[in-house]
Formats: sequence, structure tokens, C-alpha cells
Amino acid sequence: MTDLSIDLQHADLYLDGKQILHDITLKVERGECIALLGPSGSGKTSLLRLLNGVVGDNLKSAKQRSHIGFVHQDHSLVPNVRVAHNVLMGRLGALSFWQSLVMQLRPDKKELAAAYAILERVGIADKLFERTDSLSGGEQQRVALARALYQQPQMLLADEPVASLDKSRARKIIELLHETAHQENWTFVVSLHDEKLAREFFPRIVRLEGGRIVSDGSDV
Amino acid sequence: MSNRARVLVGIAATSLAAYVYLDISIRDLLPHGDGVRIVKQFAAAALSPEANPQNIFIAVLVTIKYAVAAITLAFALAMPLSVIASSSFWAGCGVPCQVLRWMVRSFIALMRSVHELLWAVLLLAAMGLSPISAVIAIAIPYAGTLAKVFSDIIDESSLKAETALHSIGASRLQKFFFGRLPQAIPDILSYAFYRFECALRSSAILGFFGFPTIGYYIKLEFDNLNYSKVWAYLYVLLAMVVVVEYYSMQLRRRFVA
Repeated sequence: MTDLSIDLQHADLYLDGKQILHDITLKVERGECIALLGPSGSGKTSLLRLLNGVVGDNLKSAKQRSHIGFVHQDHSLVPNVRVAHNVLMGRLGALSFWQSLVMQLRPDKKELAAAYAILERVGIADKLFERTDSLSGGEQQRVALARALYQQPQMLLADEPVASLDKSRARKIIELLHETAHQENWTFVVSLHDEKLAREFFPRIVRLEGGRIVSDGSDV
Repeated sequence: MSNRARVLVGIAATSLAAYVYLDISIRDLLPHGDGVRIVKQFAAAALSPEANPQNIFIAVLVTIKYAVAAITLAFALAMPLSVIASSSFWAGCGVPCQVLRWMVRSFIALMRSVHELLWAVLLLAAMGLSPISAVIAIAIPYAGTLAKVFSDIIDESSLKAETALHSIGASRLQKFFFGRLPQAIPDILSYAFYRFECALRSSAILGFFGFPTIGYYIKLEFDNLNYSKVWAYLYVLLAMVVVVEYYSMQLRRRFVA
């Protein structure tokens, strides 16, 4: 199994010559769930991208990243394809190009049933064959979550995954992700802006300000 | 003078110089000799078009057949060329990929830099007056234009989905074909439909070279001074373009919406 433990020691991150993250030390055990809190521009998204291994000094290979689920703040879905296709894209990293081509052009019943089951968990099973861009922002957010769940990653990184949902739906989704992470022993790192929600589900909260970790719940 | 003003003055001076060096005068705009009589006869015939339904039906059918065959071939050539010519397909690839890309872009530029009428002259000399000469003559420059525009559309598509697929370990090909290309498809189809309208006009014009499209009948009747029949074909050509434009607009709406 790929080692996806998080152990950052005094890590800095520079993007386009500008320092974004300063002296980040963060250790997260396998299966641990943590929430990142902080104002806009505090470096939460950059820290998630650093953990994803797409920026920084220790870039992760495509194979390593295929075990990391990432829910982007802006959904980052393909707008003009059906919801089913977006969900099935979660497993692209585990498939060869030809396998993924067959899956995208003619998804079989088993794959569609799996996608349907995941969409049912996030509450939009009836949207399986809808065009993605015909869905509301909140529904698209849930498609992005379904894509990450379908991937069955070892680590799930989520950047404000409930930003476009109402409070009760947001709570349900965080509860679902938290529960799934526990059951599957996924490492789960999520950035949130709702402190109440973070406190309810995450015993460990990491706070960022100006690209620095200013407090870590496990140390407090 | 600012840079922008200098550029504008330069463009205006070049345009003026073109007219001066071409030695164009207002008097050239007026018909001369028998011209006035011919113009009057031609204009009067516009009100009394004389149609031969059988010839019109055959002319329209052949014109459409040539245009459909040409645009199909052009599209089939343009799709793979546009992918290879796009910079997003080769993102992160080294110098050999960029060299290949620029070779393909140069090839595309060559295809579209020669007009279909010139291709028709060349192909007529090489292959004679067969339908395939006309189809290839239209398809070559159209494939070049389609490939250029398609590759620009692909490169201008949103990066977001591709970035998301990158973060979950998708390969370069997967990111391109599943993250970027699907977003470009509606605009690609929309432009292809527009070019089909242009292909109809090109197909009609090739009739002047002897291909049995509507242009052939227009030239024939014009040479025989049958202006009423010329007008009948012109009206049919206009109607054909309007009908195709209407249906292609419906199709574009369906695909793009």
C-alpha cells in the first residue's frame, strides 16, 4: 500500500517567487480527521495542495495521487457531460487510458450502479443522467464529493466542500464524509469556514493565518 | 504621438495608399459602353425569374452532396490535426513534442493559405472533372481552417476540470481527453456547422469550373443571356443558404445549450 502519511517538518511553499506558506510543521496519522480553519488568504488551499503533492518540493507521483481524493472549492467538474461521467472520473488514476476511454464512452451497469449508490449517499441519486451544468451550485458541489467518494482514496482532502450548501445539508455532508473516513480508515483533512461545524466533528483543528500555523488543536 | 495613435495612422495611411496605387477613380464605378443596357436587362429580369424545376432540383442536390462530402472529409482531417496542434495537448512535454506541434501548425497554415478555387485548378489538372476533385479542393483549405480554429477553442477551454483530474492522479492523455476536450466539443460543432454553410457557397462556386453544382447552371444561363433563369438559380441559392443557416442554428443551439 502506498505510504500517504503526512509529516511536514518546517515546510515552506513558494509560488511564482512569492512565499505562500511559512515554516509548516504538521503530522497527521493514518485515519486521523482534522479541520483547517482560517480567514481567506490564510493559506488553507495552498496547504491542501501541498499535501496533495501537486506543488512544493516533494511532488507526488500520479500513482500516489491516485490514492488521494481532492474536493475542490469550485467543484472543478466537466460541465457539459452527464453527472455519471463526472462521478466515474474519480477512478481515472487507477485505470489505463483505454480502460478509462471505454468507461467514459460506455460505462457498464456495475459502474453505473456504483455511481448511483454514491450519489444516493449525497442525496442526488435522481441526477445520475442529468447534464452537470444543469444542476445548482449545491448539487454540483455534491457531485464533486461523489467523485471523491467513488475514488475510494486512502486520504481525502477537501477545500471548503460545503461552502455552497445550506447549514443543515452542510452538516449532513460533513457527517457523511467524517463517518466514511472513519469506516474506511481514510486520513481526512478538510478546510472549513464554519467554526461550529469544525468543533462538532473534529477534535483536532489547525488554524492558519498569513500562511503560518498559529495553533494546532492537538497541542492546545 | 502615442503608440496606439501611430498604429492607427499607419493603418489609415496603408489603406489610402492601396487606393492611390490601384489608380481607382469614381468614374470606374459607372457602367460603360453596353454596360448600362446589360445592367438594366439583368435588374429587370430579377422580377421575372424563370425556373426549370427539374434542373433546379438536380443542381441543389448536387451542390449539397459536394458540400456534405467536403465538410465531412475536412472535419475528419481537422480533428486529429487540431489536437496535435493545440498547446494544451503537449503541456509538460519536452522540445521534440513542441517541434512536432509546430510542424503540424505549419502544415495546417499551408492547407488554408491556398484558396479552394486554386486547389480546384490544381486538382482539375491532376485528376480531371471528377467529383472527388471538387470535394478534395474544398476539403483541404477547410480542414486547415477548422484545425486552426478547433485547436484555439481547445486551448481556450477551462483548465479547472483538468487541474482536478491532475490532483487525483489522471495521466496526461486522460486529463486532456476527459477533462479538456469535452468542454471544447460544443464550440467545435458550432463552428463546423457554420463552415458547412460556407462549404455550400464554395460548392456552388465550383460550378463555374464545370462541376455540375448550381454555379454551373448560373454560368451557363448567364453566358446565354438568360437573365431570368440566372435569377431563379440565385434565388434558390439564397433560399438554400437561409434554410441551412436556420437548421444549423437549431442544431448549434441544441449542442451548445
